[in-house]
Amino acid sequence: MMKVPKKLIWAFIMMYGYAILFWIVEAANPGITKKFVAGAPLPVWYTCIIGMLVWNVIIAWIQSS
Amino acid sequence: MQYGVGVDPVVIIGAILYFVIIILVGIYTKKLTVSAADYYVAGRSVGAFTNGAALTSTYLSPASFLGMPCFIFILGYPFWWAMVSIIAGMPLAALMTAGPLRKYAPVSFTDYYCDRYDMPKAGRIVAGIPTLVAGILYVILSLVGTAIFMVALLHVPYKLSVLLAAIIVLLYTVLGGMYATTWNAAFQCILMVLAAFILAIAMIAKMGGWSTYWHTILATSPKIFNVPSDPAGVQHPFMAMWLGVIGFYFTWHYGFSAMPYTVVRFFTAMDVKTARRSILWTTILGGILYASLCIIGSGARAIMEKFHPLAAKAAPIAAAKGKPLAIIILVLIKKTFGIGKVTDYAIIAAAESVGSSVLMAIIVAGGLSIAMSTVAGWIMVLNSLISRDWMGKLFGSTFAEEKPVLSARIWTVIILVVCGLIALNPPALVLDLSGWAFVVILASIGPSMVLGIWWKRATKAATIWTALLMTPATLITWLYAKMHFGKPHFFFLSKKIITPHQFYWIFIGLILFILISLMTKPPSEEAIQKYCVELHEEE
Repeated sequence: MMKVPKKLIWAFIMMYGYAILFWIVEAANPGITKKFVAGAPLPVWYTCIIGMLVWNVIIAWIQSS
Repeated sequence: MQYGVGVDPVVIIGAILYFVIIILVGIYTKKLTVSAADYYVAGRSVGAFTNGAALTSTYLSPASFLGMPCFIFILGYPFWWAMVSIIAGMPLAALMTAGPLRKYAPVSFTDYYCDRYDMPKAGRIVAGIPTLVAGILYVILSLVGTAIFMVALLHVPYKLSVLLAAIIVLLYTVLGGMYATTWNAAFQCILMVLAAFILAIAMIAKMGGWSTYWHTILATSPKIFNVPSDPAGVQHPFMAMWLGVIGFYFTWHYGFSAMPYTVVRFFTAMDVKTARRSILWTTILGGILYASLCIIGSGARAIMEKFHPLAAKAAPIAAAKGKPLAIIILVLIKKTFGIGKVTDYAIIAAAESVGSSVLMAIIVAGGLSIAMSTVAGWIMVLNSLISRDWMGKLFGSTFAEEKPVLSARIWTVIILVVCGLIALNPPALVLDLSGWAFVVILASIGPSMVLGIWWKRATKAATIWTALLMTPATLITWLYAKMHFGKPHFFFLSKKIITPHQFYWIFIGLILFILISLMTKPPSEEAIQKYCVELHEEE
């Protein structure tokens, strides 16, 4: 059997886990993408998407280390 | 020709400065380019940040800068996932292909197929034909993208713009080869990331701050953030199904791992670790760019409708036609210049709405950067494919073998002349086909690229048959959907199913490759040892 590096397996799990979690939450709560936080009205979901980009940087850092 | 937005001298100075710098880089790097390895892979001496920045600007074509912001305000929030997917594919590529391929250290993209699958001549054709077709389409698309920026922001006539873009790219790629392409691409990356970031900040400031920005967007386009399961419906029918949202996610997701113009950049890095670290930088820089483009795209409609100089003229037309005011503004701009597509002008119109000449100068430099770096990146892939792989290795041309740098330079001129001539009067279909170009490479030669490293059973027969079947299958279905239904995003047999660019072929190609591999003769022990064992070992 081919030995696949654990880093690669973890990268796939981290990547698709995050995306699938988003899709499930969005599908179950369709209004969540347009909710604003009272007092500091920023779209929560935009922050989460930026979180996904930061998440990618973390995965890329793990891969490169 | 003008529609009221004049060219500020600051914008012209910005553009001239940009051109002077990239030509100077070409002249400077000429003396570094002595051998074929210097010309094709920059002597394998590029550091992580420079290589990563060059990867970012090469991979992201003018479609990102010109088209994506418009797709966001038309298709709404679900299209953000397409943008995120492009960045999300980068870390996966670090281990899947970048590290192993740098360790293997070929010179050209097709070397890998020839060696791994033991087909010294057929490998050049199997991997070369989809690469050639996709490369030509991308070069034309990027030349047109460069020209659009010059026409719309500098008011240079279209044909002269194409000519200028081709000559400038020609100058630095011919002179400095991969050295010039890499250094310029890194510089261009900084410019385009800065341009998008500054524009996003300027748009937020113009609209009255972060909070007002998003509230105005929601007020202008109430359905922009809706997802397929929202009872109120989505902004655009393409996003009415989760299959469409996830489809857009996967259309571009694996491109970074297997597209020739990114793969060759893994060869230019100093070593395996540098190749992987390059991708860390690419993920950071690309992430900043796309996060900015999400902000720009979401607010483009609102800011245009409120501040664009053409808003007053477009308002009665929009009211009469019952269409969004922003779309009519873009239609008027497109009519003025007469080139490209309506969607190409969103970022330009958004920047014009901010009304700052310094910002416009930055946008010109950023736009020219993203387009010209893609032209140069593909030119380097195509000149090594035609000059070294086909003329030299396939047809045995002594000229290509004995004078590789001169031969590559001659082919660079030929490719740019041919693509430049087509770009002078580009058929609309040629520009649209770039979407197909992406899927065809991933479906036809992507599985053999990735699985050749990670699966011992990956076979030569599977490589040939997957390429032979997937190339026409992706093209025919794409064309059928485009011709029959009007858009290539409908499944070719039913308009009720949204399958962006017939993306499902990427997975069918993968499954087909696995099945044929299991049914055919396994590769030699030597190939398995070299590619599936040694390439995985840490240095």
